[in-house]
Amino acid sequence: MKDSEMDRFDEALRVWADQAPQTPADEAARQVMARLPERRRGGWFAGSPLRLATAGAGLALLLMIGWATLPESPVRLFASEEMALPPLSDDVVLLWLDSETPLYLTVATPATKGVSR
Amino acid sequence: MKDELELVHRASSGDQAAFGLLVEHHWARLVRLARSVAGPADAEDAVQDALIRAWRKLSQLTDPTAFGSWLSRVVVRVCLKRARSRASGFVSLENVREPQSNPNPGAALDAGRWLASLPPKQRAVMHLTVVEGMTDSEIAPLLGIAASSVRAHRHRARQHLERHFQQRSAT
Repeated sequence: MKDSEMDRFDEALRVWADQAPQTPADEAARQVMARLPERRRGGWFAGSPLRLATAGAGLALLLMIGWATLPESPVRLFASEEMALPPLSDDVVLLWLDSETPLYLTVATPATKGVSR
Repeated sequence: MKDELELVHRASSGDQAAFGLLVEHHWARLVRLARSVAGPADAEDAVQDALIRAWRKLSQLTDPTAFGSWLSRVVVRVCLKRARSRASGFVSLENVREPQSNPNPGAALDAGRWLASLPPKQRAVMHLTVVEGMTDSEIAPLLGIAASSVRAHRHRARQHLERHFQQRSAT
């Protein structure tokens, strides 16, 4: 194909693309602003899986520290001797608060609302 | 632009009025881009949706000096998504308006029709190359593809147009 024909197309495309929008810029800005949601300022957890994971790890650490500092019970038995535990799935973490009190933590990523990809 | 940078900072901290001024400044450019990628009938709606999305994601903008290209990226993504959601992804030819102040309206209408016959990503590449004069390395991050893919898209678009021109010559 002749380059000049493609050049003419490019020029025609520039002219076609150069049309002004039907809605003037100031009116468009008003329309957009009327649709803007308030941005949540205090939502530290909003939209950040990393922050949620950090918070989860922090909570788990606090629970483990609390468990480690609990006073020893007079007769400490292993949990396996005390009760039959159901098999744990991969997304469940088991912490023992004491020899008789299991704490099950389910690890899951909550559905993040309003986060676009 | 220093003023724009200040507006971006204000908008990032929740100032809707500042964001409104940014919308005014970029509106025409973004509509031109959306018209090429999504088609004339859908362009302004697509840009408005993209701007609202941009407002929600503004806190994720790491480089405020790149606000303009970041906005373009959001607009392109919204337009490509809309084009994919349509059955064919092609623009209806009836929706290609004649420019109001165009000295050669027939040629411009043909350009719009031919652009509409391309897949959406090729339209974006053609617009950014021909209308905005961007280089492949500038277009690549905007479309989320490699510079070599930009070249491939443009090559295929040119081939497609070439076939159109040849068919027209033959008739």
